[in-house]
Amino acid sequence: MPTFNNVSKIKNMPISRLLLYYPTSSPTPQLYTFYNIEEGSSVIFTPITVPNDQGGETIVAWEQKVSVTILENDYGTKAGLLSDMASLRLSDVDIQLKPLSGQQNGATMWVSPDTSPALKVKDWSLLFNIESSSETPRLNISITGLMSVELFQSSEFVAALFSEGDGF
Amino acid sequence: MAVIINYILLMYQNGSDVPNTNAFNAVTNLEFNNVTRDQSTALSGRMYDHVLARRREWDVVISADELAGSGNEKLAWLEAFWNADKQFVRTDTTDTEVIEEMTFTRVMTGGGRSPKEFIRNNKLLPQYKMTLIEALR
Repeated sequence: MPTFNNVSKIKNMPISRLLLYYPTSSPTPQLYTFYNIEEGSSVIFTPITVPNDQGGETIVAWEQKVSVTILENDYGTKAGLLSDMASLRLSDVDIQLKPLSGQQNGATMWVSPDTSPALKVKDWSLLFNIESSSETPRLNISITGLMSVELFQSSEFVAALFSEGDGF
Repeated sequence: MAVIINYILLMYQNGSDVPNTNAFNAVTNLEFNNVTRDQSTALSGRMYDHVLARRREWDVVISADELAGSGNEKLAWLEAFWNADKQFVRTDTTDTEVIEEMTFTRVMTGGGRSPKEFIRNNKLLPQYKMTLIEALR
């Protein structure tokens, strides 16, 4: 039975993969997958609050901020990527986390709000910039996702949001 | 549903239609008294004080935790409440039992544009800020 004080249960989990989904005319979305995630990339969930009449704040929604730097200059193979990022609205974002210790090789964990079907709001916006130097061709992506309060209100949703993939 | 802080029941009626009731978890629900007085000094120097009207008012904020999302049914209901012929409120309850219409208080909201605002200017995060006014005798 894990407890909140059991630090051996905490694994260091860097971002290992970013998946962007863009809508297409067919039911299957256009998927772009990035593996070369650089150090310092992050996923942060921040509450959006309003003052209540008890002197505190009430959480009325959640914001998911994804900030990712990718080693990328292969825009020839990913032909539609830049035009999709520049002109379309993201339909979904998945983040794969890579456990460093305590799990077998290849173990994965997902941060995927799409698995919470009861969410009343799931809205994404994406900004990107391209940085090139002699050493590092970089694609910097920052994504803001808006989620309704249901995001963390059910243990089932939370378990689905942080779902364990292969190897756990 | 999050922890219920301020459970508020609203009801509206158009003409002689069956009244329509809905429950909300208000972020803010504050009660005030409001009195209109005619106070002055007569020519004789005598001071007078007539109470012309007494009202009870509630400042109610129903926020995006209830109203978020496009096509939100509760937001559409509040807009219908705002537009309705007659409006009622019941705040003295903490449960979701079947409500008898007699337990509601007739209120007014005032006219004008519906008191809707959008958190962070995001149309998916609406918030309703209204004052419910009960006329007292």
